Formats: sequence, structure tokens, C-alpha cells
Amino acid sequence: MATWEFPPFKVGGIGSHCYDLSRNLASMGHDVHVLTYGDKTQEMEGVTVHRLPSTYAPDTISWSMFLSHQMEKKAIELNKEERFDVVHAHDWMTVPAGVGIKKILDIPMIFTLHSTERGRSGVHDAYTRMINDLEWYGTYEASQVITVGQDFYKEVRGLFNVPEDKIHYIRNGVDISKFDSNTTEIERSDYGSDWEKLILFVGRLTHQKGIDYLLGSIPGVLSQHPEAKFVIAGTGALDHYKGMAHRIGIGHKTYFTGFLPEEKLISLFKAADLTVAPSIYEPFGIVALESAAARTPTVGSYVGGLKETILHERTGLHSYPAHLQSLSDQINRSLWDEDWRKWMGSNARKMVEKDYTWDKISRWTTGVYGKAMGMWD
Amino acid sequence: MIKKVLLLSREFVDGESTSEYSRSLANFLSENGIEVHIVCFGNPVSEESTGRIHVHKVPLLIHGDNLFNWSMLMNNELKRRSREIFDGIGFDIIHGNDWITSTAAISLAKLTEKPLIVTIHSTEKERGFSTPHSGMISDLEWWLTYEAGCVLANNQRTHWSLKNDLQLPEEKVRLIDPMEEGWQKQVLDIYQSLEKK
Repeated sequence: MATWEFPPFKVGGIGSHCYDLSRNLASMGHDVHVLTYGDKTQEMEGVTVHRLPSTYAPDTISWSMFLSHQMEKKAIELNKEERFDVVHAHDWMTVPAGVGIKKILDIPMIFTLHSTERGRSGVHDAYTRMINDLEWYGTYEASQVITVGQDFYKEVRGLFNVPEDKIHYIRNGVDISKFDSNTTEIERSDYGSDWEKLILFVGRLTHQKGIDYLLGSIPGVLSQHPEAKFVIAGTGALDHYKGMAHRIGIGHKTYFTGFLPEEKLISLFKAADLTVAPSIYEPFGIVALESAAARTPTVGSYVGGLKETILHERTGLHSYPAHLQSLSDQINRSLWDEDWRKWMGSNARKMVEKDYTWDKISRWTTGVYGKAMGMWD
Repeated sequence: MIKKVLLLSREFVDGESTSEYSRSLANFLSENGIEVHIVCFGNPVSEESTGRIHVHKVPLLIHGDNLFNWSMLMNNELKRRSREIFDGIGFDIIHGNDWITSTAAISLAKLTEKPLIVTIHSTEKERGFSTPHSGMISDLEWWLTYEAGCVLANNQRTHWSLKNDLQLPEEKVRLIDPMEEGWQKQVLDIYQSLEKK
């Protein structure tokens, strides 16, 4: 399995995805080797993680190209001891590695797309076009392609013209045990007063995640619910959005935490009364599931993966994407009725326990491996 | 006994210096009973096979946004075609040309455990370190010459640069000028000495 990030070093969802998938595959009896960036080899819950160095590079594309050669050399070396059956690459940064390993070892490649450049930042110059091309190239060279959302499946199929018999939708999972075993204490008073209700946003502070719309909707919430307090956890354009909050006049009702370690984040999910996911583009939307694992309902945009990970009026509420009034209305609705909110939180938890376990997802993934190996049509 | 040689080249066209170098070497080897497989970038319709010389051209379906990225992806095709040749009929020695064939040359040498010989026509330092990727290209030159059993320099200047800029040990670098009479025989002798090791 090739991934540019792997815990404990990670910024996005790919690292967690690869961690959960690889250790679940290992527990099913598969021999899993992870190739990633870094500087040492270690065993993690049955998975051998090979961290390999890259070199100084002027940009991320060429950096990933150089790293891919290190991954490929390692794969050739490991293959001499025991032959690999498949190589599984995640997102464009490991497409060169996936293709290289496929071609030198003559094994099938599986390619999981977690998002596209078109959705993240748009394709508007030579650099973003190259990333877009690498995403296409990955779907072209892979025997089987996995996408992480139902809408996203359609997006990828349409964007890259992937034949129907080689593209699949396998949802992301969430590790519930991590939520149950977490005992990290947080001072609730660090985040809000006793009388305040905590509304949590978790994600990179970028336009894609809809943080602009969230801030814009807050006055509409406060006019009806002065007890609302917005906790915004994540890094990115921190100063920009702090400035925006002050200009709107809601500085005292927003708290920007910056980067938070995972244990604290889990505690915050548990302590929150509500989670918000106002994204305008979201291939999967793991936030709603993490919140669900903590029994906290989510108000999220009716977009991409959030269409599936939130069941409207049962596990949370949907708002129209990029729509201030709709977002504040739905937050207000959920704040009116505490019992309803708790009921939705417990439904959300049941939903992830039933449909989003890594055990299930790992089995589906090995089904795709089997298809790539020609075990069945 | 050397029977089959794999030559990796960026391209194989008339008039281009690395192509002419490979052609001249391939002709000599062929006259001495050795089968030569030249694997390079190009349109497969212009593949040629004459006597013991086989030219395999591999296409690349993605355009790189610069030479470095293009070469990294193109090398994957060089690897694929060369691995197919190895699986089918095998080869005894791998001969790479410049950094632009480096990742294929290195990976194939590791995969097949066959000796690797490399010709450096010029180093990135000699070319003036003039692109944003020059540092990475120079790194690849280092890795390539590190993995090679023997490194051939085409001229005095490159010979000096390999020893001083890339810090290659004296005994690893050989100056073999393709303008001199009988240079191909010297290359064959090196193939034979590497194979014996």
C-alpha cells in the first residue's frame, strides 16, 4: 500500500484511512506492507510500515515523483522475499509509485481516489492540470478503481471516463473503539461557559470546507440562540477567518483552536452539542461519522458524501450548500429541542456501528483485490 | 559470456548524439555475435529489428508538465518493456544512458540482479544547473552512478565532473571517448569484466 502520509504524521483523511484499512487487512491474515514518506521502518499492529526519504524538491509533484522511486526500490527488495499480489495506491501523490511498481513487478494496481484536484482547488494552470492528469492516469493504469462516496463515484466516472466494470464505491469507515476508549479530559470551560451550547466545526480552514458560510450564518443563529458557541478546530487560513469573525461581530462567540491532537478532538466531539459540516465540496465527509461515533448529531450540507453520512432528521440535519439562511435555520432547529438532538445522536451512533465498520469495508476491499487478480469477473 | 545486452536510451532517432552512440555500439556488439535490445521512448510503429539489433519504442500516455516529471513517468514504460524482455528471453547486462534513464536502470538492475553500466554524456553541473529540478536531477545522477558497477565518461570534462561534483571513486569511472577509434571494443571488455564479478 502506497500513501504519502501515515500516522502519526498526517494532515488529511488519507493517513487515517490507510492506517485503518491496513491494520484491518492484517488482522484478516493478509501480509500488508505500507510504503510512505519518513525515515524509519516499524511494525504497527501487524502492518510493516516502511518510511522512506525523498529529497529537496521545488514543488510537490516532483517531490512525489522522487519519493515514488524510493518506494519502488523498496517494493522490488521486499518482493524478492515474498511476492506481492497487488499494489494499492491512494490519491495522485502515489500514482507514479503505483504505476512504477505495477510495471516493474507485473502485478495489478488498485487506485483509491479520496478527492479530485478539480474539486479541491480547480484545474486552472499547468500545475493543477498535471495533478488532474495524474489522477486520470491512475484510473487508466489501475486494474480497479475505488472511490469513497456515491456522488464521488459518479464524479470520477464522468471526469475520467472510467469503464463501469473497473470502478467501485466503497465507503470510508470509522474506528468506534477509538472513541469509546478515549479518556482524555478537556476543560469544557476552555471552550465555552456553562450556559453555552458547543457547536463544533472540524476541518481545514479553506473555502472548500464552507467555513465562510459558517461564519456568515452565525448571526442568524445567535439572534435566536444566544447560548450558541462555535468551536472551530483546524488549521489553514486561521488569521483570515479570525479577522472575518471579528468583522462580522461574532469574535466573542467563536473560538479558533488551531491544530488539536486526535485525543483532544475526540473529547471535543463528545462534549459538543452539535457538529457542523458546511462543505461545498466533500467526496466523503468523515466528520459526520466521527461525530456520530461520539453520539453527536451533525448539521451538514446536502453535498457529496454528506448526503449519505447524514440521514436528514434521523442522524442529523441537511442544509443547502453555500446557503447562509438554510444553514442557520437548520442549526436553530436542532438547538430548539434537546431531546430530539440526543435521539439523533444515538441514531447516528447506531448507523456507524452497523454500516461503517472497517471490518466490512476491508472485506469489500479484498473483493476488489480479488477482481484485480482475475479471481472472478 | 555476454550474449544479450539491454541498452536504455531516452530516444533512438537519427542524428541525436545518445542515439548515435547507442547505434554505433549496437552495430559493433551485433557484429560480434551479441544480441542488443534498445528500449527507448517513441511511437511503437517505428520499432525496428535488423539482424541482432532490436529497437523497442514505448509510448507514454501522459504529458509531463516539465522534463523531470515526464522522465519519471516515461521510465516506468522503459521498466515495463525491459521487464517483458527479461521475462521472455533475458539479458546479461544493463547499459543506461544519463540521468534520464536512471530510475529504469536502477530498478531493473535491482529486479534482475544483472550488472549495470552507465554512460554519462554530461552531468547536470556541466549543463549549468539551470532548471528548478537541477538539484533532483543531480541526485538521480548520484544514485545512478552509485548503483552502477562502472561509469563511462564520454570526455575529459565529464570525467572530471563525475569525480569532483558527484564524488565518484577513481576506479569506478572510465574515460571512453566515442570519437576515438575502437571505443566500442573497450566497452565490450568492461561488460565482460563486470559479468565475471
